[in-house]
Amino acid sequence: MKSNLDQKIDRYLEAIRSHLHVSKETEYELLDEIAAHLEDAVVDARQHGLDEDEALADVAARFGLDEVGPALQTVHAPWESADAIMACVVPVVAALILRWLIFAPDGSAMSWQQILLRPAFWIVALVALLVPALQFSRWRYALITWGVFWVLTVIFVTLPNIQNW
Amino acid sequence: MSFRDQIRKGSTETLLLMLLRDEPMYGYQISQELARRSDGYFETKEGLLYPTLHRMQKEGLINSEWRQPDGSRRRKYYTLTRLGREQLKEQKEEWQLFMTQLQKLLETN
Repeated sequence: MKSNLDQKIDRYLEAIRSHLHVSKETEYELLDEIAAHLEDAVVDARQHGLDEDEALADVAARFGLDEVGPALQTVHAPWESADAIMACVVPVVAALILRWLIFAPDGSAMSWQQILLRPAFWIVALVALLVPALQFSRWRYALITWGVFWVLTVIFVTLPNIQNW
Repeated sequence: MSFRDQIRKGSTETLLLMLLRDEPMYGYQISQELARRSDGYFETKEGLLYPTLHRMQKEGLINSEWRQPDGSRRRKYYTLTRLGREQLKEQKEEWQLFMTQLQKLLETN
């Protein structure tokens, strides 16, 4: 059960959240950082003799609640979009390398056994997993990229007629 | 925006780099230090520090790390990067030049 103070801070955070259109991970980090700030500020204000409501009102006025959400959105939104675009590039590049790996020059496709024994295949697979995870620190991007990579692998190996794609 | 606000806005990045040069700090600590060291002159809307800090992090001037010392609440600490130190050196030189030139102009009038 949340305290009265926590509920009021949550309302402030909600006001900021309403301006944010970023990934859940980014949103959580931003709001957690701001919550820590508001909690510290309330503790300080109370040590200066204000009661809880006065402390909250003082903290809210000093923080600039109305301006922070739009300002954070302006900073984070372009980077979020750039990250998403870069993450989409990874499975596309992996798919192009995969096609070159799977189809021999005569156009015949490898079997599952052959493809899974090729170190180059596993290197591409690991790159498709690790680049989004490490570069963007987003496991969701990494798992989606990993999923797309394996779907393309299945399509290439089970439908060899797709070689002209 | 008042004249003082314009000056403060233009100097925020340098001030943040200065503060973080000495030790890692979290947001609330930064706002309090800024107010304390400037006798309140650079006191501003505390929340607006965060967009500036986050932009500086995107630009590689500072790094951040969540820390939770001794089971207390976790806080995000900011530290200066090597690029941030270089930027601070350049900005300090530029501000000193600016102040010297401004002072000269003010004295002639």
